[in-house]
Amino acid sequence: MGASLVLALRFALAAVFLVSGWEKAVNPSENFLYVLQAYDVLPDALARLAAVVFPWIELGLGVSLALGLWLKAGLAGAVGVSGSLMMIVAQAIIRHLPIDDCGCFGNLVHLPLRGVIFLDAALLAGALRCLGSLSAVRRFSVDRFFDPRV
Amino acid sequence: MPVNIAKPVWGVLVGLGVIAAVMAARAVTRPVLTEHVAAEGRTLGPAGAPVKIIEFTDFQCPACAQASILLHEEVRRARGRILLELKYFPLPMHQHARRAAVIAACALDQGKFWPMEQLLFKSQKSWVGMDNPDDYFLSLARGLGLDDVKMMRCMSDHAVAARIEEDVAQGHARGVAATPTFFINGKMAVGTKNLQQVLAGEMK
Repeated sequence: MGASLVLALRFALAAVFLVSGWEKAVNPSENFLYVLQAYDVLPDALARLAAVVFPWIELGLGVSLALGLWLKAGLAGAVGVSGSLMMIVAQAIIRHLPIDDCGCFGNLVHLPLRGVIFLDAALLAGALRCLGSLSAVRRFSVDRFFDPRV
Repeated sequence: MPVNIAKPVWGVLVGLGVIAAVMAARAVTRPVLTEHVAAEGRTLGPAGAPVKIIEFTDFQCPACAQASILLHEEVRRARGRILLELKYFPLPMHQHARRAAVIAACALDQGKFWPMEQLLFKSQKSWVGMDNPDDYFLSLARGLGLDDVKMMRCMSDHAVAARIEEDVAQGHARGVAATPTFFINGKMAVGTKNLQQVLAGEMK
């Protein structure tokens, strides 16, 4: 994959995290709490905390990837988040949980679980690919602005 | 190096910018409703009840059917301490939800809103898979003794559709995105589990 394509991949990942984080952060956390409860993986107290915190994590990752600020950590976070989401969605599919819509993008986009698992897999693969080409990915980044050697 | 010291500062500034943008978007997209528009004829319980529940519901949503059973039971048990008010919030992904809301609104015009609400939820599984459930809905109305001609006229009345849109707009203004969503004395709860938790607190 060429350097420009890897760079485009970084911005695509940033866009996905920014949109999904923004949609959840701007809307009441009760909506996302309902989504989390439907997946039935977290105890209630943790689900309440995650409903408030997770959108900000997504936003943080999106900003990190878009600006190229602490890019290595941002990409590692993207790998962790997309990998975790993949597992959460997979267990919901295996358990036949009655979830019509993944709830990943709030009210903006409605995706069925079987569709979203491919999206999460693509995000994971994309983030891993970017981590493997850090030098190319750091073009147009704040990291390189502060340290041209990276 | 001074530039390396500046990088974390840069990060903090970006973070603060994002927080400010989210707060501003929340303020713009979720205006505080200063005046509540009551759902006339769609209330259960006395007007002066200390606990007021506003429910945004979708007749095609299975969780709303469960919530309906729970809420009717809660209102009955509370003996005048709960006022339930129902708002239409048909979700776009449910193809017959809007039509079902129209049927309920038309039943309201003939004074049978709550019996129709219960009937629509009870028979949900029967009409969800139909291509066009209008005839089935009319048979439900007939079963409640509603006037067929009035029902058919009402079902094509744009004012009824506008009434439903008004509720949907109110829901969006309050940040409703899923159903069933409740506001229990102003506290938001989505889903029956969260409703029960908030309601338990408010009933103490």
